[in-house]
Amino acid sequence: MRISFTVNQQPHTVEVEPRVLLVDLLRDHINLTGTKVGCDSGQCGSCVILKDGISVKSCALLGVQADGAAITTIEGISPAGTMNPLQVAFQAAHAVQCGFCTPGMIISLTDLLVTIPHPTEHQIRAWLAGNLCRCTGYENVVRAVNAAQQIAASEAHFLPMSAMRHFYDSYVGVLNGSDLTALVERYSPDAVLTTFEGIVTGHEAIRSYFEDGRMGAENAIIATEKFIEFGDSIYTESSVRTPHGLAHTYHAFVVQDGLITHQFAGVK
Amino acid sequence: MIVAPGTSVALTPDPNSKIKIVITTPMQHFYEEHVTLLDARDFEGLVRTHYQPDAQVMSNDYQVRGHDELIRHFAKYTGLMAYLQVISTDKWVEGDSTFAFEATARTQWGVGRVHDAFWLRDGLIVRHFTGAIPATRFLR
Repeated sequence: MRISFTVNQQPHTVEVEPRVLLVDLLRDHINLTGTKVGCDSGQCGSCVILKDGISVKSCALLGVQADGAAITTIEGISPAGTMNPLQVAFQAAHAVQCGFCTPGMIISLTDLLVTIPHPTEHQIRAWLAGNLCRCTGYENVVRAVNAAQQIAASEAHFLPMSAMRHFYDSYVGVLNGSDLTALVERYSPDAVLTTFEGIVTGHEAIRSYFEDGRMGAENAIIATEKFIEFGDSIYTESSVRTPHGLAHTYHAFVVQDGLITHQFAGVK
Repeated sequence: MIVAPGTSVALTPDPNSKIKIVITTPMQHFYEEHVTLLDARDFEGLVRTHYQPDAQVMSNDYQVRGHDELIRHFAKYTGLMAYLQVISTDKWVEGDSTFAFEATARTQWGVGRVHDAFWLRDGLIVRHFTGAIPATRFLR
């Protein structure tokens, strides 16, 4: 069947088999993989999206039921490069552990805050009955919802991502995209890169290090699970796809005047 | 000096270990002194003799800057640990101004692995990054 709908305000017309679930349509056909598939049976809430502004479980709907609808996924919950107050509060309150349930939680709680602008703790917990977190993270989620109300009341509605996060995302982009020249330009001329394979200093050595099969699709950072910044420093933990399988890595950067002066990296 | 992954260069080994203390470089001496001061809970001495006044220490869980914050942090950190015994230093790398290691350590929560990386300016730490590999291994 041919259906037309909008996803994050972008129009889409797709041919879809009647049996395809909405979550699969979003993930597999439109490549919006922020919406997660947990139980695949309407229990866990990892797949919650907004359909015409109402939170629904996208594994409990067929794709064809989205015909004519306005869909919002986690990718579209705030303008590109920004976080809404709820996302800011989740980050600040450490309301994320493994993060798998987080997209569904954010979407579901966005609906809550529209429906009940100042929910009580009981109302927050009751609303979350359809969102399961197996890391036992509910306490901080409740705190985050309360904090989000304060943030929304006190600041601009959408907060920009930090300059350091933009720098890091840009770094990952050129690393994954094998843009060696752009990657080396992210380092200061006397930058020091320290790994347990050795220490390299300066542009030429760093270029050689990355040329040696350490960038591109076969060594891509596919997810950054932890990102912490403090002053001129960044600490990250990331999953990296390697020819030998998935590797969990940690990186620390010192960034001064927009350039990496020191970087440490290791495999967990 | 670069020690291959898996090679033990335990600097402050378990007293029952048969691993010998090996200190061959200034950075290793600095690290040995660092662990000794930490072990002795001489946080004032540790911070004032090993960290620059504007030094930062950061991990997943905390970020602190400056001598006073660092002293308070190390007191709190070691207090939470109750004890911290380095069993072995499993990876070690050092250069002119940086060194990093991965170590196996025992705390009241069990045995786990930690990683630390340091950037030194004028012989004192200016940036210190630390973490666990993974933290859950401390949970018995």
